[in-house]
Amino acid sequence: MKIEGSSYNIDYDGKGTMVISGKLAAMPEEYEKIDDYFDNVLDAISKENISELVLDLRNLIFLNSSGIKTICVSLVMAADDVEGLHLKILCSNAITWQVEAIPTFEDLMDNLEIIFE
Amino acid sequence: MVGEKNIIIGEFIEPTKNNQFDISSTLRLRARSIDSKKFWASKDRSAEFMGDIWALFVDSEKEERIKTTLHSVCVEMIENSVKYGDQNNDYIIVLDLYLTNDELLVYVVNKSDVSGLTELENSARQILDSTDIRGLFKQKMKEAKAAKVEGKSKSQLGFVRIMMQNVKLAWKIEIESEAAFVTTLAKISLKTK
Repeated sequence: MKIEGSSYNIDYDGKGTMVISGKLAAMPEEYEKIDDYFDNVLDAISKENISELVLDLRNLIFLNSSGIKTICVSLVMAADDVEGLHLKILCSNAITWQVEAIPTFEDLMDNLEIIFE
Repeated sequence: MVGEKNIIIGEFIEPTKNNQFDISSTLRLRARSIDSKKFWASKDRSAEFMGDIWALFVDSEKEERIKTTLHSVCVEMIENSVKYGDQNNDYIIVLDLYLTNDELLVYVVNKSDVSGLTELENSARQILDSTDIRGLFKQKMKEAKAAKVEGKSKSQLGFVRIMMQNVKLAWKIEIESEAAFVTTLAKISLKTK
């Protein structure tokens, strides 16, 4: 499953790893599609009893506030509702928005691990 | 004109008082002259361009701060101008920048419908009154999740996101009879810690 935008890519490998890369500042309607995509991925994970989702954001250079909301609410907080699912987020110390925003996700999901490199 | 008044929220500095600037620039976007998809793409490019070009004019240790923060601040401010802009009229979004001493002042002037002003004012005051901006971010995320469950979309996260970057915000709202001019000011401090 993947979404190819004009300046970004979202790719789930079907086995527990999702990579989001590029620059994401999409129009509101486009975020609705991404919302649905995250719902579908979490449904698939739940059905296949996958115990860990790795979310690789290391090459997501830019993300606007609507994008932060979409990832936080429709992926991170929604993953918290999938029983027994552990979420690992891979981040980059070199990307400012990640350093500023991602640590705040920590209180919004119990089974969450954030790794900066 | 009946009902004319001005509302100031936060520590607003009049643009006319910035005559001691080192550098200044103005970018004007006529929002309805291009279709919305193209406008949205051009908004990203304009915002990134502002970050890139202004980074050239500051000392090297401030380059990264200007580049990333200005890009992000401009994206949020232009997006808000479109979301809350008066869609019934052709309107021009004005982005004015002034570099003074250790501060970069970003003004966005937008024409808005008066019906949305109470929400803007409440949102602005809540953000400025907050002593814990990360706490407010988490609260907004929880509200957004609850809204999503009800099939609504809610965030008002743009201003919170700007404040999380150690940027101060202030507003001036000039109300005329049926429309209002909203000037949002973002103050990006460039003082090295």
